[in-house]
Amino acid sequence: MSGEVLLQATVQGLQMGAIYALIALSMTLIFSVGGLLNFAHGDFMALAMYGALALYQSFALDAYAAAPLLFFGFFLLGFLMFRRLVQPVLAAGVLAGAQLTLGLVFVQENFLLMVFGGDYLSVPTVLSNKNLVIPPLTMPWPLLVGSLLAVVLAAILYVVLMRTDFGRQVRAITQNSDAAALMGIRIDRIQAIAFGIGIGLLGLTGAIIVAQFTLTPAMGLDFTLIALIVMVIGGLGSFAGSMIAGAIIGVSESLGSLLYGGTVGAMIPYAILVLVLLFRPHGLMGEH
Amino acid sequence: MRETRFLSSAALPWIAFLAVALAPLVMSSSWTNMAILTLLFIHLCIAWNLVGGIAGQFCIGHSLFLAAGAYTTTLLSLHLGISPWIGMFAGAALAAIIGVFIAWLSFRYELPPLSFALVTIALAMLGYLAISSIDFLGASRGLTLPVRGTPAMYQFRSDTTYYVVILIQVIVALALSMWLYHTKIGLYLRAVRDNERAAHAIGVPVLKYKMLAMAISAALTAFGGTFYAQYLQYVEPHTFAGINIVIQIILLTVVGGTGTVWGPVVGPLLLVPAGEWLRHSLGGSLPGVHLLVFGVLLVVVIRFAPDGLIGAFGRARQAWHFRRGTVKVATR
Amino acid sequence: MLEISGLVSGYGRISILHGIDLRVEKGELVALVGVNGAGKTTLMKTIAGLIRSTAGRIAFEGLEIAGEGAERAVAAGIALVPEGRMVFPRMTVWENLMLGGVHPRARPYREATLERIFDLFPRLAERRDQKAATMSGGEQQMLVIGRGLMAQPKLLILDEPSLGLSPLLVQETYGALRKLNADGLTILLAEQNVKLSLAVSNRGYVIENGKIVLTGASSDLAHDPATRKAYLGRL
Repeated sequence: MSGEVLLQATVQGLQMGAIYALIALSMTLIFSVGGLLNFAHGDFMALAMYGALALYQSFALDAYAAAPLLFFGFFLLGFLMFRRLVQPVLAAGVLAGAQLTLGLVFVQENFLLMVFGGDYLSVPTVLSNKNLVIPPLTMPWPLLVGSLLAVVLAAILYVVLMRTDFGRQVRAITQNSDAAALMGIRIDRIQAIAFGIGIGLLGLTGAIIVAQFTLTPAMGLDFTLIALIVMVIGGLGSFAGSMIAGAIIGVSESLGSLLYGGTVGAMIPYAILVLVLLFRPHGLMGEH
Repeated sequence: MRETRFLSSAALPWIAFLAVALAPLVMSSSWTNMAILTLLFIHLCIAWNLVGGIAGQFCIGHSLFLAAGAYTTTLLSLHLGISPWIGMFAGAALAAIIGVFIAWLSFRYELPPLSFALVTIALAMLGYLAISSIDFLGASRGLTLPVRGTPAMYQFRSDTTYYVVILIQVIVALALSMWLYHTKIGLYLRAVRDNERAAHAIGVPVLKYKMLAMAISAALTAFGGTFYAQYLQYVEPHTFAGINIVIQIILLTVVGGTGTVWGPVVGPLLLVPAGEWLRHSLGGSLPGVHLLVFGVLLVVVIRFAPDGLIGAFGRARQAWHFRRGTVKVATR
Repeated sequence: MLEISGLVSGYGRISILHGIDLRVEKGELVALVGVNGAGKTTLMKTIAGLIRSTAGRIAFEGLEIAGEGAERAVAAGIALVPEGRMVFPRMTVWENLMLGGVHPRARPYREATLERIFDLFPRLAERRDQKAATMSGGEQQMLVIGRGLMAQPKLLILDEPSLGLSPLLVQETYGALRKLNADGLTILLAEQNVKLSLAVSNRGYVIENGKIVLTGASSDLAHDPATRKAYLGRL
């Protein structure tokens, strides 16, 4: 196995890792602020990707141009969903919330199946099927741009959470919600907005990576599981942790597929998840 | 509380259930396939409910047990000519071992509920991927059962016979579930579900009962897996080891009402026939519509009646009794 | 300024307060003394809106605020410095203080108030970028008082500020409270430490088992044997 091929796989893994990290960050936001373990997370993104397809088919709108639209649309979706569906259900406990999202998985996957059919689809964009060649690497433009944008978005999220009043309120709620209430913070409202941002980010992410993937109705679940793994390994709320975990998962998946075949490559993240959940002090998930 | 009321008129639901269950035997055979599927899901839901509902362990790993049952019997039959009637016990044993291992893991590493759920998903996915890539297990093509056509090899000519087999399995599972629920074991399991630390503090052997519940649940699921394999006459990873079927099981049980004896019966009883009907009437033009409806229903039920239809029924009944002034004091 | 009558409150079905009558006039420093479990914290949290009362009235500057929630209380001008301090552990001193002033009522004055608090508590200024969890008990206490002040309160209520503090720090804290009151801030102070709180306040209330059993001028209460009796309970 030549060094070039290994390098190529590693770079690809890092790029996928950045995307995984962003998805994990939005999942972390929803989990730590909204209190919901969202099994339908990847499916929302898949919904956005199909949405980009629909926008392209109806308005000849390029996916990258549609991204802001999808962000706002999905923000609204998330906001309303939190208010009307998530908050009331979470009153019955955290598992009820998880079960709810399982139902949403079914709803979304089969909705997509119904509307778009089961065939593999793709969305043509300005960058599709074009490569950037910097020897010895051949990098598909969609993946390169998608991963760079993912890093940028993660950085923006970081700034918002760490340097703005809104972000401070969000963090306050996760660190001590009683004290946050004493500050006069409207906890419900901040939670709903944060939730909306989490889902909105998914819409945005879907749009900026859609050029790299083939669409199929059940594609969301894989992303959900990978995001879960990255979230757990990276440590809730740690930006650096998520980026590093994303890189680890991305690279190990990529190299694993290269060296041992696709199935083994797919198994590695799950194996890592089990090991982390068992041997990492359960303070990672146990905080909530 | 609700269950005690049922127990006092315990015969009633049994009679109703048997009436419904025996009906397909006298109806035309076009219904039999749907009836078989319904009973299969009831069986699998009862099995899952032992762990997921009564013991309160949200386990998404039951696809492993299903696959254990299905693949073990198939391989034994294929390569050694062993009858699935015997092979299914081997499958159940394998499933039970896996289940006990999982229960042990959760206890040993003190996994909180969400972590436990995630670990089981991960293990299920690992199982699915492993089976999909190992040729001996048929990889993604699957394995076709040898057609021997004799009842001794768990193969029947008429669908009705299959129906009787699964009906017997369901009755056994239901009786087992009821027995467990109402005896000391069931009480302990529910205590562990509601407050593990408190149960441990008063001396309930938590690990032992978790493992017991898991072993029985796994074994029952494996029996179901064997049946399904024999009915379809082939096994392949997507159906038998995939997460989708577990999610459906969970869905059906939650709608019916987890943690109750009749919840896992009511859920599939109502939804599977409805789903099949939807699939046949609209599935051509709208693929996946029945699953969509399942999903919507789950969302609606969780939103408005988190303890399922049984729970809602129980509450409606209480309200009715209040109005009539015939409130019974519930005792456990 | 604050007028409480017949207040009944507690957790779920368990009532802790069984009809409290209490008054705080503008400019006063009022003490509420009582043993552990007498209901001080429940009363403080109910006034601040964290706990919903089941009966009775809380009128602040004429406006009824009972059962309206914490945001309403802050909007009206009440700030609670809670028992156990409740800092935001992984945020810095500066971030904690900024959160204190996050409510629209207080936001315009944030920068100015921040400077005043750093003048009042120089030690906080030194530790501006330090994470709250790494600070000592006394420093955290100063922090949460400062945080409460950031909300521009008309009434500052404190729940056991001296708990867990060394005598020196207690003196410092009380010194700060005295100064704030002298500058015009109305204060309601709940304490287990009878001597200290009665020494610094104008008037006092003694609470026992969810009811007010004694009230009067602090100097009177301090010497009243009934106070000691109510405080220590029946023997």
